[in-house]
Amino acid sequence: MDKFVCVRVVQANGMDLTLFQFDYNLTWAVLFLNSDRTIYGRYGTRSTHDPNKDMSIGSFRKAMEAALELHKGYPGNKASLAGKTGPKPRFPAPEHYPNLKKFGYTPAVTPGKPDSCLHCHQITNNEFRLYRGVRQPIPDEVLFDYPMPDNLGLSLDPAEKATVKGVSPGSSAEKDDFKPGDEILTLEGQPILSIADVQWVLTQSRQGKSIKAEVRRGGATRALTLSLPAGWRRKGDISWRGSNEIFSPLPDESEDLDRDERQKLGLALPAIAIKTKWGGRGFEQGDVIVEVEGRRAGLSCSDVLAYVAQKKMPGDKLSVSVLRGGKEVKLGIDLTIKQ
Amino acid sequence: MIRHIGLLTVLSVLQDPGALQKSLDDLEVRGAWVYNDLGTAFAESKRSGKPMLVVFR
Repeated sequence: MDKFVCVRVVQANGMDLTLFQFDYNLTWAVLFLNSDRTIYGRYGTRSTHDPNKDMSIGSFRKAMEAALELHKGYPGNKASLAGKTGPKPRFPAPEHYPNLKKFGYTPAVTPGKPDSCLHCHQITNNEFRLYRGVRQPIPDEVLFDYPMPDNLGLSLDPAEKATVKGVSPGSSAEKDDFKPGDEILTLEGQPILSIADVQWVLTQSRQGKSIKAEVRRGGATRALTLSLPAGWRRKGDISWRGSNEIFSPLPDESEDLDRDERQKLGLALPAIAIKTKWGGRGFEQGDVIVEVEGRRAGLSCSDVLAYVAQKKMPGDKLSVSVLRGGKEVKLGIDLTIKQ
Repeated sequence: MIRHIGLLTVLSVLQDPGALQKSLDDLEVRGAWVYNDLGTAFAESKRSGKPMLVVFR
């Protein structure tokens, strides 16, 4: 750690969104930077309700070592790092979002009441709010941001920087000739330090059909192409994302039942089976959603959230049925924008 | 001289948790860390030639 200038940022007030673009729903995220604002890489990934599944001390250490190598080679490698800085953001800082104007550039500190601190996830919240406020669907590129490579059939090892652990049979990644053990060195020419760096390239691929990849396999480097088939972003699980609170009709932390829970209730896949951890909005704690808008199968918790974000608008109702105390109860949930 | 002023700035941040840090009861972040001050971190990175590791938490 002493090879870096380490800084901990605990609030987003005044954050320069031109520079600091990352998955704002993470509870912990890292950027490696040069003092001239060149970004070497990102670290921090989450794909499920378990915040620790996709990260490890080992991969963080390897990302740090790789960042130091890039720093040694700087500025000779500057051109390859240009794509790590994002496009011009909608607003230069979070407090420029209409609903965040009440927050100051720096938080006014009242001992024991740090309420004026702006949280990173509020940036995504308010991006969502801009669409909901004018009754427009939240686009895939915004709703499914920072997609995982798993969407393309590439499972990466959380103990490594970006090494392929598995390739799903029949996936586009398999057709593209990716193999377990491949170490992803670059994507679109950008050096890759972490799974977060892979997500960065994927989330920026808004219109593209494929990504240029360079991998190390058996000591040799080879060029591959990572195809982006239609609808690839939508395969991700967004149900863990806190920013969904803006539009979600479901209580916080709702998620799909696991296999054992499904078995106990006789709700084997593909039946809808979403458990509500908390009550509110017409739900009671422990309700299990089994029907949504007339459908009883083929929708995960993430699918229901995406359906609401893109097909239902504030003021609409969402029709669901829940299992409550062994009986099925019909509910009509009012859709609002969380204030 | 400028180098020493930079170092003193960092040390003063490290040794005296600011009001925000106290308010958040976030006092375990000490040692070599700059707390919630990107300006100081950029300046120290430029002065020392070290890259920055910025944690958002």
